[in-house]
Amino acid sequence: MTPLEFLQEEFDNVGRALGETLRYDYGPERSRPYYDECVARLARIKTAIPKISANQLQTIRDRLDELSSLATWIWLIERSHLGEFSWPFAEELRDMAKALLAEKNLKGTAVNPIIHIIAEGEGYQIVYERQVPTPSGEHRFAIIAFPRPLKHHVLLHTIFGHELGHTALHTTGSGGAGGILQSRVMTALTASGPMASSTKMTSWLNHASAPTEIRSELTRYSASSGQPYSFENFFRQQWLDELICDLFGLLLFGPGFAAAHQALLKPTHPNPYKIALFAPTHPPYAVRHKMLVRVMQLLGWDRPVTNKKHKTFHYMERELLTYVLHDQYTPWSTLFTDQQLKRAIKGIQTVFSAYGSLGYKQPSADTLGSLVERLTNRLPPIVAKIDSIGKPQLTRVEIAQTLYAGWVYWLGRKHLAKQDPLSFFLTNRLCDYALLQQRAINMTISWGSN
Amino acid sequence: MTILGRAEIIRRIKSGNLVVSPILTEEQIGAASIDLRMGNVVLMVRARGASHVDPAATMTKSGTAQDYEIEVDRQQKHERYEIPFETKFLLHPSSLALVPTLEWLKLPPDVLGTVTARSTWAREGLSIATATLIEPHYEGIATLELANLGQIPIALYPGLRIAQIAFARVGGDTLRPSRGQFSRSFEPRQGDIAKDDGAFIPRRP
Repeated sequence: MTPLEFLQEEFDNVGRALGETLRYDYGPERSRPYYDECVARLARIKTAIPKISANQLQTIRDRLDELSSLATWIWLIERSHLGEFSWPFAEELRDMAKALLAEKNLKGTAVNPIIHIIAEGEGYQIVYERQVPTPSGEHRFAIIAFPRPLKHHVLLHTIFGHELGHTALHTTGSGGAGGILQSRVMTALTASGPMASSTKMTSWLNHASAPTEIRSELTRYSASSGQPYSFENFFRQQWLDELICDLFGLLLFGPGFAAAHQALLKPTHPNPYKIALFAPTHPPYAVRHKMLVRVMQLLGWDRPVTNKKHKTFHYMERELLTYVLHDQYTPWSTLFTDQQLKRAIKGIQTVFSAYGSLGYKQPSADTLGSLVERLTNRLPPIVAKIDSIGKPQLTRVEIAQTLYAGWVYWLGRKHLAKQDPLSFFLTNRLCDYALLQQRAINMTISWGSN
Repeated sequence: MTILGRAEIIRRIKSGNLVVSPILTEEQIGAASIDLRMGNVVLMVRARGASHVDPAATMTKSGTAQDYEIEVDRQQKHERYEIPFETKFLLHPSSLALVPTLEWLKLPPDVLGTVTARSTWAREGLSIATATLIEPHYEGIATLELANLGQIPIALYPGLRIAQIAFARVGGDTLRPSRGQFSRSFEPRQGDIAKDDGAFIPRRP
């Protein structure tokens, strides 16, 4: 078999694999754009093959690489099973991603990404295709991967706010989310302080006020490498990305994000100051947590929306705030001034304002009270009231507010008089079911207003 | 036995004594019933699944390898579909599908629920006339056992009002020794047809 014959064989194989994906039911219509995009890419390779001669080995190799890449995307179609993730949450996330990740192709035409949702054994991630949309109208793929074991854990799913930030950072084109985040937020965070340059980062690490864990890590590094540690610019950029994404997630999902951030990251960071100096891809947990706490304070989210009049729910909400705002870390962990953070917040809000209702808004005290009360009665947290003649009073509640109520219930449950509080799993399931019911409520409201 | 009328149903819902939520339209509450909407999960018996239903096949000997086989049979009996809103589900003639209600129910100690098909749909052949009673104290979704008794398939969409529930006041104490096996259900699932009837069912060798 010659290399060119092998290329033809591989092309046929990938085509057959794509065709076979249609045998399975992945949910209604959602896989159609994804499938069509794969067909279009396959067709482009098909057009190219007859023009290749047997001695163009590098070209054959390039086409094989394209086929291999396409096969990977095709394989991901088969990883999408509606029963393996919370699709009410996924639908909300899809809507957010579609708005945030739209970009212009080289012709200047707006191109929406193709959002595909799968459930995997690994952690939360959004895989965003790096290839820029071409004039031929190709769309980028964005794969949202839920961790399979956490199918119903919608309270933890708010961490997707961070992942969505990463994807938004990589969008291209002027006026898009990526452009604004780079020009407004990145600029703000590097205007002064340790993150302004890698030299300043090195100084910050070596500062006398650094915790002993850092000093020990620096000493170990010097002993093993034979030279003092110098922070590389590449990793400074990675830290900036991570910190911007934390801000992005917080502003998107509110304190519920901060709660999920702490619940997921704290157990995996026994040393909150650990940097892993040989490959410091992420800032220490202490730095990330401290920044989130300060931003919540700057936004006024450190104060409960309920008051003493709301009694138990007020004490429950205070428990949540105590949990997310508890900050035991040294002042050395502060990387940014309030002024920098305010500018960064404004930059992210500019991105959100371009897409209507994106971004966390605090619920009213009455709404929060209603939602938490429903959970205390073991009911999905929606606002479901009828008047004295049986007419329903339908209320839109934003997903982040529902999830905030879920966290308030879970972290504040010790204040409940009832002795049979819900488990974390059941709290999540009820919130998950509430997202489904809320979708039906929103559809009914929209139908009525048409 | 007294059937609750519309005013009593509304009064109980408003006070939180009875929960059927969400109520999406005023018409959902009838003279003496509440319409129930189809939820988003469908369980259908798998064509290549179990050959027949036999309570003896569900009897377990705890800790033996047999438990694995029983669990596999139980879990693989049905094909499970999640059906988002605005998505069609076709119920073919003579087939049975288990679906949840969109509504979450919570019944007080003195109320029994009775689920039936809505006559509008029954005229098309849609039957929901199998397990119809919902006990006092129940909380969770209600499972609707849908059967198409007509000659042509019926298209169903989540959110449609396909069933109705009427409520009757129950006299006397309704507390039972243990929670019902389907209480706090979020979706339909296979029941245990041998539960508490072991005395009458032969054990596997």
